[in-house]
Amino acid sequence: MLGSEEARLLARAQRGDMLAFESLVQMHQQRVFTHCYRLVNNSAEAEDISAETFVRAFQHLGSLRANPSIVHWLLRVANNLGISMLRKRGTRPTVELDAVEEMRDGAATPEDQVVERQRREVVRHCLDQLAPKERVAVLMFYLEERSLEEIAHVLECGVAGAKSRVHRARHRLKALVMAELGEDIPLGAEERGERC
Amino acid sequence: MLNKQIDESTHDLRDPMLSALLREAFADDPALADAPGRTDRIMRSVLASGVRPVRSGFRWAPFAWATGAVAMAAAVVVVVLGLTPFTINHPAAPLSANATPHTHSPIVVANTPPITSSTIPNVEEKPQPSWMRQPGTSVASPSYNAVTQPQRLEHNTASTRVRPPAPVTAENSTTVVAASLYEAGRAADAAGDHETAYNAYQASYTVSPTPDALLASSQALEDMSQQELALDASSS
Repeated sequence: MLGSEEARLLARAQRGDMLAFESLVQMHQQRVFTHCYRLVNNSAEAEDISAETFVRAFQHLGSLRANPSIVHWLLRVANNLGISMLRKRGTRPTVELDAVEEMRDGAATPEDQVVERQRREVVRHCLDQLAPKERVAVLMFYLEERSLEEIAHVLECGVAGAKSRVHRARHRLKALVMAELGEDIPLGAEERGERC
Repeated sequence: MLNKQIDESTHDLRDPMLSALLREAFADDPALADAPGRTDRIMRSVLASGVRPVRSGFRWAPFAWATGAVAMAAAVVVVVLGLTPFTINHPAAPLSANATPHTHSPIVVANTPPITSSTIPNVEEKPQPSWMRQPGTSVASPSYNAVTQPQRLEHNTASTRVRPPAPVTAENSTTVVAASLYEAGRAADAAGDHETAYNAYQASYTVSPTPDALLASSQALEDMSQQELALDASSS
């Protein structure tokens, strides 16, 4: 089980085993980086935030507890670092257009590719309009499919507060996307042939 | 059951449309691909930072809480069992169910030498109360301090009670008893036992006939002591 393996590695790392700490980094670095990237929308900054997150984890190794996992602590630290970076940068982070243009080489027609790219840019731009904690809440719930308890842990609030943030962010994001794309996106739970 | 509760709490939040929109926005993003060298870069950052793990050390918080809880429990037990040396003896304090009713403390004059002894202590006279001082009459001799004997009274300062008085014998006059009662009242008053003091004053007034009688008896006692001194001088 991952939990017991992580607990074993953590115990060894706390006794000074650097290889065990490296294993913990390997275990969680992708998830931490993904969270940072979606928050700040910039891969270089996401790398910096991820590295700083694990530096702090190493510094506070003695107080870390694998109950059930240290990943929530890591995401909380990464979240706070990301929000600080956004505040320093300003409220409108840049969208990496180069990365967006390299996507979807297998699309049907060039026009489809352009349309798809534009939609992605619009959605990510609208995401950037949200407050950082609302952005984290909507990404963790709708994209990563995390529970409200996990979201509450990362955002350092109660479950009710996390639910409220998700609800608010969802309505605001949809309103922004509708305003940008001019499409009528229903607020209800309608399926379009895709499973959540 | 728990899963059902959790599902119900997020049921109103479900939005497949939004989920699809967000998945599309981040789909095939190369930045999100797993970078093999990222772990090495992170470890180099950790080692280059110079940060060292902070030793967790002894967890003082649980220890402090446990110690405080034990101390509180011990204090509660001590108070409940009544093991404390402090008791409330205020006359106005309400009596508990088990407490005996407060009885008047007997008037105490402890270790008071008999007035008839030849050794009359030589103490400075204290001002006499106004009701004892009659116009035209002389004030009692300074050497006689039957009335003013607060210094010779011993009373237990740890409690408000005074010891039982010396038994009234044929040798004691009512005047002496009255004076003793009066002084006992003053002692109890000084100790804070106002009820006992009041009772002593009351008893003293009841016993003493008149202020004149009091003065007369004190003069008589003075004369008696002078005669004894003269007798001793002539025999030697």
